Amino acid sequence: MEETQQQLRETAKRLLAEGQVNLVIGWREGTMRGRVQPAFLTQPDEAQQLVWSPLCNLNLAKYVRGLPPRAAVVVKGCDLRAVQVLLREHQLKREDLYCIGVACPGMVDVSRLDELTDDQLRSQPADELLDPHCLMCEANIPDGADVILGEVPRRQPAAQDPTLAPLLARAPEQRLGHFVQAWERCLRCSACIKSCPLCYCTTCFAEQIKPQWVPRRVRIQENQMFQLGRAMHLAGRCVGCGDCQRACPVNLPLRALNARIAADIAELFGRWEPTDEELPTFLRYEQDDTEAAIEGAVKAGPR
Amino acid sequence: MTKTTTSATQTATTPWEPKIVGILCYWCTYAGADLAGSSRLKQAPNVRVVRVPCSGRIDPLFVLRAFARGADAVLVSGCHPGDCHYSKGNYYCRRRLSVFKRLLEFIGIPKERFRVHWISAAEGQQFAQVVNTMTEEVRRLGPFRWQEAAGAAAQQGIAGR
Repeated sequence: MEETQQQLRETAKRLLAEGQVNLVIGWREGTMRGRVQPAFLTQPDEAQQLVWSPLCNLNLAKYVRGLPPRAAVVVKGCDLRAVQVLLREHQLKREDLYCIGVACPGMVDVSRLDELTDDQLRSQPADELLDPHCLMCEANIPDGADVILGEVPRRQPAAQDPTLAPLLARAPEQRLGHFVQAWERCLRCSACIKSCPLCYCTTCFAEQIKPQWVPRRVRIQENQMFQLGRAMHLAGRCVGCGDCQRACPVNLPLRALNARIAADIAELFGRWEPTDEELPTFLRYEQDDTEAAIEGAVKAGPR
Repeated sequence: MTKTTTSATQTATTPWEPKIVGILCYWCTYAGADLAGSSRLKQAPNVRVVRVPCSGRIDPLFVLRAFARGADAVLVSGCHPGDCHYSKGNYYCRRRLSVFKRLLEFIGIPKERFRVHWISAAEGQQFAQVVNTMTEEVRRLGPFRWQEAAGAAAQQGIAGR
């Protein structure tokens, strides 16, 4: 990853020096061990601040809306996918953004930071150290970026989803208890919203007053509305980058919901790629879409 | 003084009754419900009807808010596919609520508490049947109380990570 980091710095320096872009968004070292910060570079000699390591988990697509042309952003596979979803949703123009792709070997699981050595925080992670989001990654090479730095093998998602499998093995009442106990910790702090590139509504449904969907109370009744409502608003759009899960100060089971919805969509309607010609999953339908959810569809007479 | 109460508080004289919110499309199921009424079919009185112009109007947040505000179960019903008054609203509903229903089942809400049906304006009998069946199923399951769900898990020694 050291070599790719050097290529990244050179690319950023060149883009700024040649005037191809007036801003480069990347990662720089953070203030605490195990963290990176977003870096917003405007001068060529600032490029040496950029880093590339298995700690570069922040999805920089968060910052690409509303920029004056032309900007460059460093993107892993998931980050580029988020940019592509934003493009599909007409949030920016492709020509206003230069995507510096980095082939991603996976990010380290920072929830286990205390167990990890400094060396492990710098080098390509072994599978057992990977963030669960990265274990299920299907797009670690950012195909479609303007340039792709680094070479890593294309990932295949793990056979079993490490978040979903243990939950599905439990009885429904146990799952309900698990989620309700967790959601009682939810502070409604919106860290998940603020970190997510696809949560860009000027007024989030959770903040809306007219109508007030979610009353201003922090208790399970309202928290479940927020959690499940947000998951549904991201349905078909979530790119599985994991920023929300890492941002949550009380470690809520956010991935479980998003991963479950993504798996269901893949099974019922086929996984949608933002580069597909077809409309996003819920903006279209097929005549023969599954009726499995329609219980005991009671029909009168022949159809 | 006798009183009938529909609030969550119970007195010794008012046993718990299932509260089911029914979100029905105006052109089909709502008309079907009306037919059930004018045909004097025997129906449980436990369904509170919310009328929407089309099942495609139904936002999952409607269902979640019903559960937040004390519903024990939610019934959604609209026109049969192909018969939507607005041509395709129910197709969008079908996709959206299929995923949503799976999500609710995944988090552990019993499937009897959220049902989606297609009931046409002529199907008064089917509407009454669905109402009665669903009321009985929910009566068997008991009231839906969020706080108690966590308590049950705690008793089984399951921590919510």
